[in-house]
Amino acid sequence: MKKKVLKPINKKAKAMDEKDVFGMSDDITTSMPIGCTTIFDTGWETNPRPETPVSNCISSARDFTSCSGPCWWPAQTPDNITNFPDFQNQCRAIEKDWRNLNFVIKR
Amino acid sequence: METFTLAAYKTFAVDGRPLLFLSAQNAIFEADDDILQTLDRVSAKSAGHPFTRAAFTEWSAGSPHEKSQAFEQLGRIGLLRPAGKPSAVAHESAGQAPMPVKTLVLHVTDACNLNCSYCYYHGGTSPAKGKAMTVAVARRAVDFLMDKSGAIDKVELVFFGGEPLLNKHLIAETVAYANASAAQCGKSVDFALTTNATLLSESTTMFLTENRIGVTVSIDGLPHVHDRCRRFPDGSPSFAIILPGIRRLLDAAACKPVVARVTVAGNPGDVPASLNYLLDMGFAEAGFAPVTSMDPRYRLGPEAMQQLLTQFEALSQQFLDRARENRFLGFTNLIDLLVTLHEGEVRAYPCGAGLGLFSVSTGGDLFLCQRLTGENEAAMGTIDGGLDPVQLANFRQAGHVSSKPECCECWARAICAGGCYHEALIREGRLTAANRHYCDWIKRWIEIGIDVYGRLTSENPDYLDSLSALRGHAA
Repeated sequence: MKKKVLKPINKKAKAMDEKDVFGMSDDITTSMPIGCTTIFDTGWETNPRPETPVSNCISSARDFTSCSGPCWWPAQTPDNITNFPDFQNQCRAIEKDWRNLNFVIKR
Repeated sequence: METFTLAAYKTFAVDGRPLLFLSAQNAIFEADDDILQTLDRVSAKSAGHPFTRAAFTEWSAGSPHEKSQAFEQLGRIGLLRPAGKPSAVAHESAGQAPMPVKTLVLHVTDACNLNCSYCYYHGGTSPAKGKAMTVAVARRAVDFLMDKSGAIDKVELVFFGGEPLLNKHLIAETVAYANASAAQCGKSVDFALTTNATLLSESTTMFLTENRIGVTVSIDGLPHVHDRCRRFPDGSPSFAIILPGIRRLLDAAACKPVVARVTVAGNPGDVPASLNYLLDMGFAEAGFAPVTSMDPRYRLGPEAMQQLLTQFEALSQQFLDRARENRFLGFTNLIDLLVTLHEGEVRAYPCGAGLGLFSVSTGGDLFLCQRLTGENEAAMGTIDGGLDPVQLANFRQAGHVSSKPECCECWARAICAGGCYHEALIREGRLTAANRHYCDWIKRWIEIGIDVYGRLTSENPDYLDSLSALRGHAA
């Protein structure tokens, strides 16, 4: 455990300190996002999950969901944190429905 | 290559303990000396320009491990952020989002039976001349509040004037109507009233207590200070006249604390003596504010403002001494500041005016707040026609702290947000201008508050939670 160089004092600081910012807290074993391809996901030879492709790394289609949310990997996923929290409603089966995701032009 | 910038911050040494204040978030951390040294060096070397991680490492203090730790932790709290990204401060999409109305201030009459020389309110002078709100208008205002408060289940109705108790029968009617109407909507209403205390008869006092109406008394402290400006139209002083009523009110088993509101005009006099006098009378708290006026007879000049600050500082020390022993000093200004610091509230606007609070003129027109009732710049529609969306959007855009150039780089902006709109209109000529005339004063006052806050966090932290609870914050 690292020595704390910043100790939160008021409520706001405590809230900020408790917040897990993109999985980068001191405690690496509990803060890693689950399902992220770079760290704990096993390679193509052993996909432990029940979905296809079996014995492979996460399918590219699954990147949409596994790389959004509290994951820092910069895959091209819809911005589900601020602008499109419900994007998955438009494509329940991402492998088939990904065309439902339209381009977003922010003005 | 990715570059970074430092967000606004300020460091304080409180009792030898280094504190780091994040301006945009109103967050306070205790920092070790290394990280403060690193911050100061990075801030000096980068001089506001973006820098790379390599440059940060070169400028920072400590071992390679400590340097990377500093980088990570500063990034984590948003003090170090990727260049070009907006700061973490919440920017509401100004004026677009529908916002529920929580508080409505009713100008139940323009008339006042006092003629205080410094008063900003010149709507009517005598009870005979001033316009009074009719029951019909008050009822429509209540309907407006019930309708526009959306999902909020606890709304507030404030009676203001003029002297609101000159229209007591309307207040009584409105309280009954509002309670009935709230019950129908599944809401509850909190009532409040500001009075000059000249009309606090036995029956009025009973009415106020029975209906749980929170009372603020405008009173200027020690009798001779009070009587300098707060006089009747015939020039006679008011203190001796209001004293029996105030005693009656304070003696009544008031279920809500009665607070005093002091206007400081001309020279501050002895503020600590005034505060202690008012608290001895039985007021729960007293808050002080310099008069809003351009008149050189009343306006506080630089010297008087400095004097006021020195006295505020002395009172803060008194407050701290008592707080260490779990005792209380009802110094509203400091309590409010400490709670703001403790909760880490971030203000994009200086107050709730034009957001969840509006005032209603005697005729039923809507304005930003009670102080701005009747000012064209602050007109926001009518209770019958509703809020004017264009006026409101313009106001919310211009009133946002990020629209005030002077505030953008200020470390105190999350607490001050530019200051009172009415004060800005009178002193700066535009209601959404930043109150530059008291920038330095406010910053110094917040520093005093942070000092008291820092000491209490180490000496009696539970006390701060009880102050927060006093202001209605959850533990």
